[in-house]
Formats: sequence, structure tokens, C-alpha cells
Amino acid sequence: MEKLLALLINRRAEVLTLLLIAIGLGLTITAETPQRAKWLSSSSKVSGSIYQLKENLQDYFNLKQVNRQLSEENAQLREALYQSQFEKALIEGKFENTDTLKQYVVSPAKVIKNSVIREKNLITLNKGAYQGIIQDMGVVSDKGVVGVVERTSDHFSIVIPLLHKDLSINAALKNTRHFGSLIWDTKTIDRCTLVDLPKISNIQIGDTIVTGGMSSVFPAGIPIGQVSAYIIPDNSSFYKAEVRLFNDMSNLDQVYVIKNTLKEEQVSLENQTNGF
Amino acid sequence: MDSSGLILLWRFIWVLLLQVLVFSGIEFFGVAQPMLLALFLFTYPTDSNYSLSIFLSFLLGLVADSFTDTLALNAVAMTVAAYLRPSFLRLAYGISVEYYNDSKLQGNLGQHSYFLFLLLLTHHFIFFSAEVFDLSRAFVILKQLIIHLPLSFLVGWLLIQLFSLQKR
Repeated sequence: MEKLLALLINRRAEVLTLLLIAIGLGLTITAETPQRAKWLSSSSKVSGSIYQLKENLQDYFNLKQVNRQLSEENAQLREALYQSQFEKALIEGKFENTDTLKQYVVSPAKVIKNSVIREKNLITLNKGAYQGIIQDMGVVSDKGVVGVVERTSDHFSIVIPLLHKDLSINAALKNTRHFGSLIWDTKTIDRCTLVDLPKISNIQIGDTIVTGGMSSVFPAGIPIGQVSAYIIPDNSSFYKAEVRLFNDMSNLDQVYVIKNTLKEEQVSLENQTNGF
Repeated sequence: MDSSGLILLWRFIWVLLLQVLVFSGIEFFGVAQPMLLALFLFTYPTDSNYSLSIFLSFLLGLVADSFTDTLALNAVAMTVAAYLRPSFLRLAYGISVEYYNDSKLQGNLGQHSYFLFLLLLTHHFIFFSAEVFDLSRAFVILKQLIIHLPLSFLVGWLLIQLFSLQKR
């Protein structure tokens, strides 16, 4: 025992190194579980607050540009709103309808941290559980889909963006509504890959890709990107298409978190129904 | 805390803030990011406690990881770099740190550059190896090294020149 103790003291640097490496690797491996990763994440109180401070300073100097972007976005939203109100009124034969069920609630948030150089990139938002953000909410910007909320702390949220190798999103061709899965092959930060798109869909370069609405995360029809190339792998009945994203994922600021108020009902019904 | 402890704390905070607030926000050509936590080891006094340097490096990496969402990759990489630091000192400066009684490293630009390169290479190699965690994907590790290491070295070298750390 004494010899062992003496050995440990003599070799304390080696023992300490091995111990710390083991702790580090242990944290890295077990942190795949979101709950365990929480304290090692930028959504934690201390690091989140520092990033918030940094973001506040940057915001101050970017006010002019942000104002311009917001104005443009407001204009587009008003245009879309007026158009939909008009179409709805035409269909229903009246110009007001107050009892429409509101399925999606949209909350604005800001990106305070973002990365695009890893295989599993993450985004930190400045809104968290206190603002009603919960796991599996969709996140979009004015240009299109950004990602899905993975976990939240009281005041911050971590989002898995499209540039994350484990994320798969239901996506469809805007024109024909044929759908497939959008994934990221980690090669370039401005392109994703649409797989499992049926041969019958007659895809063309330049086609717009939107959310498919098959999941309960995003409403259907939110823009994602444009087809820049496509192939049919040998002996396959499905297209594989390269999609150039509308969003510049390395330059995100203002985003919107989408809450599907009917999600639980939808998921519950789907789970109850055999073979869905 | 004596003055050497305060200087150590100051360097710890300085390197941490530089990495998480400045370099983590920089992406050259959208792919390369300077990773310079190893600067802490470069500036670490040569006559200071070896085990303490390993522990502080682990701590620095771990705190940086909590900011950059990199799990504990920096912590592991910094621990290994700190462990190998005496060997790198011998390689670069030809000195044995155990018998070196001066905290200021004496050497020419080439020796400083070589020492910095060895520290950065170790940190980056361990970081990306632990991130990929799959030897069959060694080319990914190599690719990441080729992308990030030259940039980190260049920025680190410029910083050392800027702050004249070589005259410590």
C-alpha cells in the first residue's frame, strides 16, 4: 500500500493527466444526453449571460442595418397577411373571421451564438423556458428554416440547425408537393441534401424546396432552399438532390420560434392509430 | 495570492476571453477558426508547478468548452498539451524544465515559433481526434488540422509579436 502511495506521489503528473483525460472523455461521451450536457453548454447561466452582453454590444452598433432588415421583413409579412386575408375573405364570402383556430404561435428571438464549422453545429438563442420555448419547436428566419429547438434553460435555448449531421427534416417540392428528407452531408455550409424524393416527382434545377408539413414541428410551405443539382442513384427509385439554402447559416441574427399549439393532440392521435 | 498567482489568473482570463469572445466569432472563409487556448501554456512560467499547469489547462479547456458547446474536447486537448509541455520545451529550447530556475523563456524567434507550433499541433490533433472519435475517419482529422492549424499558428504568432510575449 505504501509502495502504491509512493508510486502515485512520484507519478502524480501522469496520474493527474490520466484522471483529467478520463473525466474529459467521460463528459464528452455522456454529454450526448442533453440533460447531462446542460452545464457544459452555452445555454448555461454564466456563459449565456456573457454571450448576451457581447450580443447587446454588437446590437448597438448594428442598429441601422437591423432596422432596415426589420422594415423589409415587415413589408413582406404585411403583404402576405393582406394577401391571405383577401383570399380567405373571397373563399368565405366575408371580410372578417375571428373564430379561426390559431395553430401556430410565433415568438421572435435572437441568435447570440452560432457555429458552422463543426459536424454537429449548434445555435444559442436569447429566449428560453421563461418565454415559453420548449424542446422540438421549429426555428425559422425571414429567409427560411433554421433548425429545431433541442433544449432550453430558463433564459436561453439551444437549437440544432440544418447544418447538423444528425438532423433530418421533412421537405417537399413546392410545385408538386412530393416530399423527402433533408439532411446535411457536412461538406459545405450553404447546401443540404434532399433524399428519398420519389422518381415520379419530376424534379428540376431551380425548384423551390419547402417544409413538407409531415412533422409536427414546422407548418407546411416554409422556404428552405433551391435545387442546384440532382441525381438518381443506380437501382434507386428516389432522387437525391442538392439544395442551396436560402439562409446564410453563418450570418443569422433575428429568428422566429414556432410553437404548434395542436402538436400534442396530433402526436397523441398518431400514436393511438396503429400503423400510422 | 502572490503576484505570480495573480499574473497566472490574469493570463487564464485573458486567453479564455480572447478565445470565446473574439476567436469563436471568427470564421475565415466560413470554415477556419483560430483555436488558441494553447497560448496559455506558451505563456505559463517555466519554473511553476507542473501538476498545477496540467490542472489549470484542463480547467481552462473545460470553461472554454462551456462557452463554445464543444463538450469537453478542449479540456482533454489542453490536458494532453500541458502534459507534453516539458518535452516540447526540451525539443524547442534544449532545456530541462525541472532544472530551469527562471520563469522567463530565453530563446530566438525560431525556438518560440517551434514551441508554439508543437503546443498548437498537440491541442488541435487531440481536439479533432476526440471530436471525430473514429480512427477510420482519419482523413477528417487530417483535413481539420490542415484547415485550422495554420490559421491558429499564424494568429498566435502575430499575437505573440504584438504583445511581445517573447520578451517575458
